[in-house]
Formats: sequence, C-alpha cells, structure tokens
Amino acid sequence: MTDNEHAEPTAEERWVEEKVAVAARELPVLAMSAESELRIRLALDRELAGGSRDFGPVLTVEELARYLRVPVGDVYEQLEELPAFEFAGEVRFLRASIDNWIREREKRFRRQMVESSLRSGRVLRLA
Amino acid sequence: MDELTDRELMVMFKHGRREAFEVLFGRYRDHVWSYLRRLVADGTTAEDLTQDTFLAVIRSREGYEPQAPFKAWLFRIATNAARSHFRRGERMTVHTLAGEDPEVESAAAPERPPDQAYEHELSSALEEAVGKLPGALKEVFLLHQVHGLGDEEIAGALELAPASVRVYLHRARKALYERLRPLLGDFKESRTDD
Repeated sequence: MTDNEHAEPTAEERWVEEKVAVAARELPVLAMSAESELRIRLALDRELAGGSRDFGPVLTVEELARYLRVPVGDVYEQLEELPAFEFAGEVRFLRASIDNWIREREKRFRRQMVESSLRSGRVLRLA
Repeated sequence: MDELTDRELMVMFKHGRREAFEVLFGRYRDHVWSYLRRLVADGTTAEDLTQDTFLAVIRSREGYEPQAPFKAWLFRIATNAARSHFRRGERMTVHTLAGEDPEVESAAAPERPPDQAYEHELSSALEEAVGKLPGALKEVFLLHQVHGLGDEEIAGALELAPASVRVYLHRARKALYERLRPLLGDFKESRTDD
C-alpha cells in the first residue's frame, strides 16, 4: 500500500502496521459507569415492558393526557410543542413520536441538571 | 445462556425471550459505549447514544435477519446514531480522552517505574492521536483494533466495500504512526539495530 494503496505493503509499511497494532493494545474497551448503566437499563426496561401497551399506536388528546398523567388542558396548552398531526379535523399523536419526544426531553432535563450542578459546584457524575 | 452465539441470542430475543437480550446487552454495553465515547465529545452524549442504540435493537428485532452478523448490525446502528447526532448540528469535534482527569494524572505519575511510565505515555499519546483521526478512519480503526471486528464485519457496519476498509485502516495506522513516531521509533533505525 505505497502510492497505490491496493498494492502489496512494503517492509516498512508492515513494520509500521505492526508497531501501531502493538501500541494499540494500550487502547482498552472503556467501561460504562454504574450510573450510566442503571439509567440505560431503566429506559430499556420501560421499552421491553411495553409500558404504554394500554394505548394504541395513535393517541387522542385525552389519551395523551392520561399517558402523561397531566390534565387535558395542559396538553392543549402545549400543543405547539408536541409532535401532533391533524386528521379529519381531529388532533392525534403517534405514540412512537411521543415516546421519542419524551426521551429528548429527558436528555435535555438531564443536561440541565448536570449544568446546574456544575454551576453550584456540586459534582454530579453522569459518565 | 452465556455460551450461545450472538445470532442465537438475537433469534431467541426475536421470538420473545427477553433474557436473551439481557445477555447481549451485558456482552456489548461497554463495547458500544466505549466506541461511541471515542466518537463523540462527552460522556453524556455517549450515554444517550448508547441508549438509543439498544432501544433501536429492541425495536428492530423483528427485522433482524439471522444470516446478518450481529456485531456488524449492532455497530451499524451505533455508528448511525453517532452520525445522526453530528447531522443534528453537533459537528465532529477533535477531542481526546487523554489526560481527562488531571488530578489522577498528577497524583499517579511520579510513582510509575520507567516501563509503566512509557506505557502510560504511549497510551495517552495514542488516545489523543485516535481522537484526532478523521471520522471514517477513526470508526474503522476503533472497530478493528479495539472491538475486534473483521474486515467484512466493518464493511457491513459502515456500509463500505471490504477493500475500502483495508485502505482506511492503512491510512489510519499511517496517520497514527506519524503522530506517535517519537515514541514508536523509526523503521530505518530498527534495521540498524538488527
């Protein structure tokens, strides 16, 4: 793999490859922290448990309010923020989109918590 | 169940055996996290993307084809999660994991015997050099060198031709060697030593 990278490698190239390969043994598989693993497991458990199986794939406003455990009025108030669609004059939500929306908000919330703990000088290790 | 292959476990999971997923998660969580941690700028993002990767495995289990190598499939999902993250506006940053914890570094360094000091220096320099590799070279190098994927598996994970994988790997090693030359020595000098 000299000028033509598909050609047979030269002795020097083989030597370099060997050197880098040996050095690369110093690159470990990094271990995830226990806190990270716990958070991920919780999210996966929710998914595997199908926590929202009482609802169909498409939710009405009332169903979404029950799903999120908030008053129906709160859903109407925040309609612009929600991944909604209209069909035959009715507002509906795809449950998968709502689940993704929740996850994004979880991430944003977590970041805010980290930033706020850093500002306050308290160390909150997430990874 | 630990003795079962990835494919066997994935097929079991596809047929509703949740415990098979637990084994796969235990087998690959650190690999996926580690891979993503070296691709993105911080641990929180790596955690989010690791979660997204395994959620995608759960949701895509119906579509898993048993003839597809599991590792290639898993790392393709992880790579796509990282690429989507960059597309969403987080540009591919040049970052390294070397020396991230200065307190630990300064406390431990004076105690190291010479051999360990060299290994530590090499390890830090390597981590830094890998962090500076361009995206595709970094992906190929990490999958090959750290996570043990073969050319065909990397090709499947990154949607490249196997020949391109070999070229990228060659370029990555060459780039790393150029950065590590002061620590690794020189080919001509090694001939003289012989």
